[in-house]
Amino acid sequence: MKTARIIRSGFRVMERFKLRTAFMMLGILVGISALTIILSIGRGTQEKVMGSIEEIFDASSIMISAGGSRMMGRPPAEGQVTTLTIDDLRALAETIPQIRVWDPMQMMPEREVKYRDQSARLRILGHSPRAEEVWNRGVSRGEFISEEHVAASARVALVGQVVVDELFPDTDPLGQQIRISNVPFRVIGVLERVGPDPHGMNRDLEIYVPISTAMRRMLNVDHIVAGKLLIHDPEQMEDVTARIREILRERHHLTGDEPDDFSIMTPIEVKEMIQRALGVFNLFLPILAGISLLVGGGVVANLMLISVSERTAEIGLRKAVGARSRDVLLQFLLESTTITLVGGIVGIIVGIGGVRLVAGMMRIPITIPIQAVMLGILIPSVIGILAGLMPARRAAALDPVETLR
Amino acid sequence: MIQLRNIHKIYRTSADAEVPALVDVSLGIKEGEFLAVVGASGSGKSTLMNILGLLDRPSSGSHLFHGREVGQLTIDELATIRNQRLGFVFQSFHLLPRTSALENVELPLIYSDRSDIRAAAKAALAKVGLADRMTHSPGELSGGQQQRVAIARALVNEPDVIFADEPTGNLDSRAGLEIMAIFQTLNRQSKTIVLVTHDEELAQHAQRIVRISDGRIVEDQKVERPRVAQ
Repeated sequence: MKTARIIRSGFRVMERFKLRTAFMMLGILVGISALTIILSIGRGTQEKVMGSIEEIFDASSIMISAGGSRMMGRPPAEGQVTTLTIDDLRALAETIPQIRVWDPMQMMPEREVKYRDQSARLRILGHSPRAEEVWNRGVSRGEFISEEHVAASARVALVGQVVVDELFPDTDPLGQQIRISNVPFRVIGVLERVGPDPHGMNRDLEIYVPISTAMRRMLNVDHIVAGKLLIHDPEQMEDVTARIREILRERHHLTGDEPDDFSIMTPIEVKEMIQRALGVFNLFLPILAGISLLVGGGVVANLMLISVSERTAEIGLRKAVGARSRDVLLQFLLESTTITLVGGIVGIIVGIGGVRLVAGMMRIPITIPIQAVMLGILIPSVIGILAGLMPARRAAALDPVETLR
Repeated sequence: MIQLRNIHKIYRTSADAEVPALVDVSLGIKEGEFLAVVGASGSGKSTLMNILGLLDRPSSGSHLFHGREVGQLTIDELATIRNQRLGFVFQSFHLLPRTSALENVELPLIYSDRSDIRAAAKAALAKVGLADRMTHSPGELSGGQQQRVAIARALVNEPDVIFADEPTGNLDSRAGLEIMAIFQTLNRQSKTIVLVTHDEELAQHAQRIVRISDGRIVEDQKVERPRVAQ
């Protein structure tokens, strides 16, 4: 009853100092809404990226790339490591029953592609017919690469949707002839649209050709740059990758402490990699929000100190008429904490509005992590107590005799 | 009710300089008295009031309040006694700005265990003739009205004694007389009043005058015919 009255009396004081109260709230409000937006957008981005990774790199897939311990995720430079071959993959699939299906890959980062008088520099990928299943990407129109195409090293191509938009603005691409580095190819299909990959590469700006065509006709090489395998049971991932490594080392005649001349990537590693990359944002941006909260807390502490020195007569009077030091302490702590807490709650609301706006613009899912809401309440409470403590103690220590002159 | 014996109060202004504010003061105040403490500025009368009002502690000597030795009470106990048994009226009113008269009067009761604080505050305001000004804030009231609100605030806890420190100092003489009239009325209703002032004429409204000079009581006389404020 008594405490409730002291609390209510504290609220009346805040009413009396509306403008100052509003300024104190503002700093916290801005910091918390920024924090809410940052945490939510960070989470949304992560969900979106992880989702797109799962589409192309599901839990049962293993990626083998030519080249040893290089930075993961970077495609190997053309022609650098020539030890990985289709025979390697075939041998793996024959030895390890867990391997369900596999697809070799050769790549040309940039080749000039012409259709009549239109031209573009595009990424050319060589794949097997099994790429449709292994990469979970087929054609939206036309037909996919077939075994016959591979056997004949046929000059046929699948084009990405954006390639279609750029080279065939008003023609049906199916059956048309394009020239890749001046070699004629017949377009037999349009690749399903997948959008940008996690590296930001536009995968709709690609052309697929049969793997044999890429190796024999275009590059004249015996090796591939990568291969992707799908296994039956994702639980067996560790065993299978260990076996792959063992077999490949043996086939490549690597002994003792010679390093691998290939790298094996599993979805777990890919996700860890992405998380590390996003971690920079998830660490750096909250620090910025934290700094703004620190400033907000400083403003609150400062204004509370001013408030105490302006209100010494009031504090003295309250003590003269019977307020104990702890009643005064409670009042001022309550004042600072209420202000920061209300600032925090309004900040969360504003932040959620901001998240809707930004998520809409960035086309990422709207997620408000519960941690963001909890932090939005917890941090202002702590700031309120810390910022209010010194002013409140100063107020509580005031001597009514001194202040009531 | 209040008994001071051989009270000394020394202010230490620096490490080796001591200023005696009260020297060997002994004074008894009975219930129902209207006492004026008169002295020039710097005579020690405010120090005396602060000690009587339990806002300050003496450096030495005995101070009994209702038979209890004040020196043995904790700061919180003193606050509780001020809250329940004492009332204060100050020269500069000390009302909370932008706060209604009613809420100003309620202030001491906020810190009490009472539950009927609104009714008590209304009754106290009625006693000082401000029943129709309860929702006014200090800025909307005259100086005399503001001091009446302050008196209502001093009354609201039904104290044993009201201490008034130069209560008319900021008022014109007519408003000052109105305030004295209220004190005399309260005193007739057997409320103990301690008035601290430098104003001889004002002191003549009391029943007893204690003169203080250089921290010592130099005279303690009964007023045969107290002046009556209209």
